[in-house]
Amino acid sequence: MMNIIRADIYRILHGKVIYLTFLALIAFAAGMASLGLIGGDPASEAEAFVFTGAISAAELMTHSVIWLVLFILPFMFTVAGAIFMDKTAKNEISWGLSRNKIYIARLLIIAGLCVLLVLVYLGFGIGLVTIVNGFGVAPPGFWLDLAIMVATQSFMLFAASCFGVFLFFVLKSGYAITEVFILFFFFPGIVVTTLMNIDIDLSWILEYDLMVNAARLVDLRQLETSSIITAFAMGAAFILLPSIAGITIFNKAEIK
Amino acid sequence: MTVLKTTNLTKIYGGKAAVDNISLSIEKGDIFGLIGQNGAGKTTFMRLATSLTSRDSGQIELFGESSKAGITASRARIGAMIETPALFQNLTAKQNLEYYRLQRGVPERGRVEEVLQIVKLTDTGKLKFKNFSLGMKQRLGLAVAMLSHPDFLIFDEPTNGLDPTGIVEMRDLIKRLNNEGITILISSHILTELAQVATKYAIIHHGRLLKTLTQAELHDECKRAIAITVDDAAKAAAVMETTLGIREYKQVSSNQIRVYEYLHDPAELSFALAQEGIRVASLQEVGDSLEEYYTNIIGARRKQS
Repeated sequence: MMNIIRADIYRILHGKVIYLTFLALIAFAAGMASLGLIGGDPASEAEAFVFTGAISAAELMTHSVIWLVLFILPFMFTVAGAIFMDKTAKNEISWGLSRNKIYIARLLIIAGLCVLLVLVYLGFGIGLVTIVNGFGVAPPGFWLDLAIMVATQSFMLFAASCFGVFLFFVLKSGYAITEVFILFFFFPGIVVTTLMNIDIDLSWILEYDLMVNAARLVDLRQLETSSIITAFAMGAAFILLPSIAGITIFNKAEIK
Repeated sequence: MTVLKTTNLTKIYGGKAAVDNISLSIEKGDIFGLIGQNGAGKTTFMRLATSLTSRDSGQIELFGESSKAGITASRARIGAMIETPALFQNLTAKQNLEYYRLQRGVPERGRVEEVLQIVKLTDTGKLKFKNFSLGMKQRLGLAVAMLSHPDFLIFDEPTNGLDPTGIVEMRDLIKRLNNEGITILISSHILTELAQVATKYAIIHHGRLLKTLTQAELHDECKRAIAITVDDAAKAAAVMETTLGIREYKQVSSNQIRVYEYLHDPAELSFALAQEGIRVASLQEVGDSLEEYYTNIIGARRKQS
């Protein structure tokens, strides 16, 4: 499995997608940071502490987690799509690599990229806000909270990725995969909000929406235990169910 | 040593057998040619051998291993190019090979350059795979197959898309690899092409194995000869040797003999035998070109079915 991962890292680093995606992510982080976070009076918002990055971390994440899902699409296509859509999986299988390892190795790479994505996004956003608004003293527990935020958000983005990778087995077209993936994460919120405008309350649906739960996990301290359990259960379900289904289908699939 | 052995191997698609009870064995050192029309089942057979598709019934033995784990482990000794080469579109030849070198854990860094030289793709530079000609893609597919020093190579129609020079080079390459001790399974729908490299043949039609034969047997089958039916083939052979000095002949059965000389004068042959009291029941010139031979076998099967 390590050889698969090593080879894939070589391949990813020799393509343009990873660099373009991170450039776009940095631009997005700059945009989000400039929306209200840069140039304001952080001290008035943060009272006792003046480390402006501390304010920006939660702000940056809460409002953007749904958009970060879009940035994992290129990762899915580069890591998993290339294998299953460019049909290179047949080289690996005919050479004797187990299908389970082929699938799981790609999930592990995507998991790593999700962590990197959150780190780069927060790192750049916090850094920019800090540079523009000024340094200060980090409040107690800030670094631990930040680490927990990176972990939870990476976990939820990875859950979304697992669903995306699974789509490669049921939808053969790249366009269809993109459309279904985006609709799946954006559509429930739009529909529920629209229905609420005509007095149909289906907001309970959003309790089980992966991205709503991801946004909630940004600040664990504000959440009740039941909400934390629900959020993590949703994440775990999105990782396990599509992956088990994907691996099962892949093991039986005709590799053309 | 048997490299690949299949017993009653069957694969069914939509109720129709694409591979139908095929039993054959490929020995170490063979260049085993699978010959059949398009859709005959050659590629499906190769896909079964490489686990790209699962069998419906029958057995596969690879390097003596027949358990699932044993077969999977033995596949590391295989290099395969099935159908069109599938490689990363946005990588160059060198990058694609380096990718597979890392994935297969091939320790020698120089191996990439080595196989590029073998398939003559050292000058492709930064050209990406997606911009390769079909012939170049085929050659890079072969390079990937050869990368990890396999003991057994499986090539599905490797000359597809190659120009005449490329075909000759491919033939030479296959022979060279075989001389280095690599067993090769190769498919084609053109018997004359296979005949120039293969040492054994299997003719497949509608998923069924019609015939397996060695190069010598194929040569015999296709060699022009006079087939004579006599009352005593052994006596006829002795007469031909002593009176006509014939050395190239084969006694097929107790009353049949095949003579590869005197094709220009069968009457003299008949006369010599008759003079020694041997009754000649029939005498006819036989032997096909490779195409005729192949067409006849396929045609015979069509009539039977």
